[in-house]
Amino acid sequence: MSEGEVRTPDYSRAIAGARAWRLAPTLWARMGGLLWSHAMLNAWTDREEKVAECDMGHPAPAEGCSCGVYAWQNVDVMRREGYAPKDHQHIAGVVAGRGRVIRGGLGYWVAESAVVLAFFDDGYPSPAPDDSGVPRPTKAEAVEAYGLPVIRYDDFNDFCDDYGLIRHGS
Amino acid sequence: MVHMIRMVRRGKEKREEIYEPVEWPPKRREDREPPRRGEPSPNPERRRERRREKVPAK
Repeated sequence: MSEGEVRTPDYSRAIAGARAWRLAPTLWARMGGLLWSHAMLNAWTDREEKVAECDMGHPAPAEGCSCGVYAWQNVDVMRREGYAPKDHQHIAGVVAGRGRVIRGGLGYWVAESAVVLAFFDDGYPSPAPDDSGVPRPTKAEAVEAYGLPVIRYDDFNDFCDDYGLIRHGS
Repeated sequence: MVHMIRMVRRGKEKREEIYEPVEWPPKRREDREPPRRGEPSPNPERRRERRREKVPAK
């Protein structure tokens, strides 16, 4: 397809995904957003759509480049791949992606942009504030900041259907 | 650290798809405004799928 040519959309709904983040570990990090990628490479600004950018200057996502917004296509894959939170420093949720999307055979997708729609009750609540005097972001704080529902892993499919998302692999 | 992301993106990938939701950000079904009388369904790809279901000529 030549540059500038308009492609007909494949879907008129958003793609469903599940992903995990690391909660901002410091007050400095909190300023960028409560949710950070696992690798702490970039933050998701609270309540805003996450739009992918690439340092190489090309539109994200792209073949052969790691740029783009990542998610697993469902909860089962996220858990199977070991990305479901197992501590109070990570949080997971439901995301919806849009724009150009590349789906991988291993059950992930990489999109142009995504928004958070819900968080999962993962069974690892944040502990009460310690005596260090340094406030650390908690899962409850993330839920409150985003104003989103908390759902069980088992409710993923129903939740996505309620929001009219395209589900793959489940 | 970038290595970690590249580890995720491996294996065979499908061709690029375009998701252009009519409604963004997505809303819960019961929070959506009901369609006005005479307005087309806000789900074009479902209409496309229906059109494909042709009965073979006898």
